[in-house]
This record gives sequence, C-alpha cells and structure tokens, in this order.
Amino acid sequence: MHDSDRSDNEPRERDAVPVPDRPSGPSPEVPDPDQDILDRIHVGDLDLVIRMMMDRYGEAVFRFCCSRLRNDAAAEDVNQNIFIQAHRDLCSFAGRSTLRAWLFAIARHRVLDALKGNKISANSDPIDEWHSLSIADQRPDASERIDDIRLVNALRECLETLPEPILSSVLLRYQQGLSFEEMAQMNGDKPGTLRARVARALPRLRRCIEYKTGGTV
Amino acid sequence: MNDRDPALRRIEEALASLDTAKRPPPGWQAGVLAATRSPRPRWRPRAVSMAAAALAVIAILVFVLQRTRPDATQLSLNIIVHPGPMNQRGQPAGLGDTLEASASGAPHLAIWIYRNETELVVACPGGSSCVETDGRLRASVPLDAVGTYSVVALSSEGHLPAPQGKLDEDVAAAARRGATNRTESRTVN
Repeated sequence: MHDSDRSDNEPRERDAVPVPDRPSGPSPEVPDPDQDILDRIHVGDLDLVIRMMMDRYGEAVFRFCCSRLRNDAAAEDVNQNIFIQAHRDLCSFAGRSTLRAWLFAIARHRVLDALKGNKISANSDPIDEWHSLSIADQRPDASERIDDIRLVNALRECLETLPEPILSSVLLRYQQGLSFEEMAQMNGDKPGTLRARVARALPRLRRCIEYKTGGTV
Repeated sequence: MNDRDPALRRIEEALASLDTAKRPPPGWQAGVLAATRSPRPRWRPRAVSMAAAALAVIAILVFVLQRTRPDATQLSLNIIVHPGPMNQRGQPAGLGDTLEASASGAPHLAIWIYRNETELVVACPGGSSCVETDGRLRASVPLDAVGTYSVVALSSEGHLPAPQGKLDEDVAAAARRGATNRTESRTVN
C-alpha cells in the first residue's frame, strides 16, 4: 500500500491539465512495431528475441532505471536483471499488451525491488513544503525564467517528491512515450485514471520547480 | 504535446530529455546472454514440478558420483593465431593476423579480450565474432592494431557481471561473484 494512493485519489481538478494521448497499444488497425520480434517469439527463437529486445529497448530501459534509481551502478544491475527476467518469462508472454509495455512492467517492478532492497527513498511522503503553498506564494519574483540546467536539476529533485505510482506514470508517459492504453496494460489501471494522475502531476512539478528555484518555468 | 501552457510543455520536454545521455555500459548484453545460457524450464505445471523434483534428486546423485571423475566443467582456454597475408613465417602474432580463443567450462562462461588491458575489443557471448557450439565458446578478433591482446576466459556457477572495459577491474568484479578465470596474452608489434 503506497501512501500515494491517498494523494492519487484526491480530487484535485484545479490542478489537472488535459493530457493528449498518443497511439495506443496493440490494435488490429495499427501495425505493431515489434511484430518482427513477436514473430520470433512464436517460433521459439528466444535467444534472438532477447538480442533484438536489448538492441531496441536496452537504452530506454536503462534511462528509466537511471531516472528512478539515480544511481548508475544500481541501474546497470537492474537493467541486466530486467532482460534476464524477460528472457526467462518470454514463454509466458501472451500478447495481451505490447511487448514494450510488458518489458516496462518488468522494469518497474525490478526498480521498486531495488529501491526497497537498497532502502533508497521510495517517496513515501509525497507532501512537501511547496505542496501546500498557493501559486501566488511560490512566485515572489516571477521575472526570472529558469534556464534549462536549473530546470532539469530542479525537476530531478521534484520528481523524487512524487509518490511511486505517479512518478512511474510520469516517466513512462513523457520520458518513454508510452500511451495511456499501454500503461494501463501494465498494471490494470484504467487509461483515464492514468491520464488524470499524470495531468495532476505536471502542475505539482511546476510549483515544486518554481519554489525550489525561485524562478518561472 | 501540450499547447495550452508553455510552462507545462517545457516540463514535458525536460522529462522527455531526462537522462538521454545515459547509456548502459559496453558489454552489458553479453552479461545478459551469459546469464540466460543456463538451462531453464519452459513449461512447469504442478504435476511436472513433482516429477522434476524427483529427477533433481537423481541428478544430485549422479552429480555426486561424477565428482569422483575428472571435472568436465573445469575452465580451459586455448588460443590460436591464424596468420594473415602480411605475417612472416615464425612470427607469433602480427598485424593482419586473427586471434581465435576458445574456452569451455560450465555453466556460465565468457571470453573477454582486451587491448592493452584497457580497451575491451570482444565480449563473448554477444556479437558476431562469438560462436557457441556444444558448450564451448569461440571468439575471434582481427589483430588490426599493435598492442598486447589479453584473453580472459571466465567460468562461474552464477551470473557473470558485464565487463566495463578495464581488465583488472572486470576480472576483480567477476572474482567477487565467485568466477574463476584463465588469462593469456599475445603481443602485436
């Protein structure tokens, strides 16, 4: 049970912004970009499959691990374990999600295991000091626009203040470009729930960034 | 993606670019492949699991009995230098030659080849220069630059770590995971 469940269910429509979607997961109308890999799974050529998956998604999964763990050495270990597990479980891949969504579901779980195992902060307390301030409070000097470097540095810190399900959803959506339908295939949430979760997170990130930097995004 | 608020769009763009410079270390795929080389069950309902448990007991007995025989899983490393057209007869290794290393040992096996101990040129398994047949790994590398080529064969009961690119550190990391290794080198002048 994550503390995040509490905040995720809070009605915060004031903060929510519409989030456009991208093409969804497996669909008869949309060719699956991983069809070549799926064909190899069906013939049982698993070694080739895992090589293709590593070539195609290795860097993306590693980026996700780095962003979540903020520890390159830990990310390297977790990244390897993700693909080892993928190879082991390929036989059970039933095609109910895209291959990418299936792989990132493994990634998310292994990252959470690593966070628990290493007792790295899992963002158990999503309420930061900036969170209770009004927008007017957070912009004492709105004239300064934050430069890109400060923005990214503050963004990293602010991401850490998001509770787990929201943080993963935000990264999978914007860093990895997964559609809400794909993300829903990963954990059983409804796409609309995920869309609302992400939509609420962006203004929170903005407030946090502006509070930490004293500037304007 | 979001054309309603430039600030939020900027945050989205920052998220999209987060850690774009991060890359997994060289040879990481070899580590995965080495880990996946051990036999694994592909389908295991309960009834089969019971039978597998019985077979496991038999396998342990067989294993214990085989301990009295010479160890078939002992790590071995063989190196052959195939002379190229530029090589003069009798020269141990020269530019244009091809170094071929083969190793056996089980269950997790790898061949790493370094130039001058600091440049990883082959991480096997993985890559087109690596072949596995009958539990034996064979890697080849063209000797296209001068230097000392160090060939490390590793064998371990558990997963081998991915090599990072420096011989001493990589071998030490593997040793920490219980791997044994054999190292030979050839110098190209």
